[in-house]
Amino acid sequence: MNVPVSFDYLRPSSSLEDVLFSCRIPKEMRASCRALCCSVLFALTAWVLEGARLHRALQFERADADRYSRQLSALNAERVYEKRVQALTDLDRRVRTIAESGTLAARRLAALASDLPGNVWVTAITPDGAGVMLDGQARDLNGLSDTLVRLNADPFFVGPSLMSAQRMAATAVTPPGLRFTLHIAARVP
Amino acid sequence: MWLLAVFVFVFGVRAIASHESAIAKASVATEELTRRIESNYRTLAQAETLRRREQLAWDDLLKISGGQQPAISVAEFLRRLKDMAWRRRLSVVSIIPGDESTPSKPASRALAPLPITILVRGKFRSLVRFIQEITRQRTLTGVESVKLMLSSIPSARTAGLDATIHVTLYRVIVDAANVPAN
Repeated sequence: MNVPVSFDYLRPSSSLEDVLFSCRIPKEMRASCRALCCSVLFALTAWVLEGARLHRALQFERADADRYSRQLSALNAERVYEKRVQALTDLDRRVRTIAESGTLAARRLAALASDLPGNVWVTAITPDGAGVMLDGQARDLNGLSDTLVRLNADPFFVGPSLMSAQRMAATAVTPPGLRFTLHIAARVP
Repeated sequence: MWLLAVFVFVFGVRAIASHESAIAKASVATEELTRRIESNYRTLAQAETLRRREQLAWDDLLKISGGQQPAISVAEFLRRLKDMAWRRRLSVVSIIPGDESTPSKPASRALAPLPITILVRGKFRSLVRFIQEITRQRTLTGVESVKLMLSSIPSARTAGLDATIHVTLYRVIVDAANVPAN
């Protein structure tokens, strides 16, 4: 005779600890096992979190390094460009100096002429390496002295110096006086 | 078991310490890179100033650069010289190209010099104006030196002075292909 038999397949509810310790861990080792589990959990958590932080820090560093290397190549290109522009502006400056040389020479001559007192005449202006040699005639020493004082005060010239002065006898066309030579250094603009 | 737990704990602590040290190193490196990047940005920002300087230089140079032949430059210079002398009532006595005069500064490769010595006779004031005007022309001209003397011709003494003017004509040779488009 068949009698229906019923079975209870459901296990009684139990805690995780019970499940873990159900594998016959001796009671005296349970504390150390718990400590080991905690240590493993701690180490794993620390490993994961710190790893994530390090990964992020390295990512930032790599991104900045990439940006920096791209910037360096741009900077090198700009340095080449700067050199080219520098050469160009040097040429432009030189051209401007050349173009202004006539005005500068004319201004120096005009300044020289206006510095001479009424009783002094210039007979020659000869350029030399450092400035000009000025040959002239003066009626007397006062005229020569005034010339030196005025030239000394002129912003276009530096340190006029007397090279020679010689008494000059009267001729049919010129009165008696002095023949002199001065050296004047030109001030570099 | 206790020992293993302690070992794992210590391993965790050491892992934290080593990661922290690596993080600190990476932060320092990142800060340094950021500082350099900021400083480089300032340098790169000067590119605009450079472009303006380049434009100004080209504006100047293109006005005088024709790349013309030396003979054409000299011809143009002579025509202008005649006009200036006539206006100032000066007499041009001689024109000697390639004389002892040399440019005061060595010319660059972009400037081809041609020294010329001019002897002009006339009154002081006219000579000064002439010297001033001689560099104001399309052909780039520089006055190297001026020598003034009482006229060597006795009959011309009343007319004034002899001026020996050393000038240099320059041909500006620039590569127009380098001119910026704007």
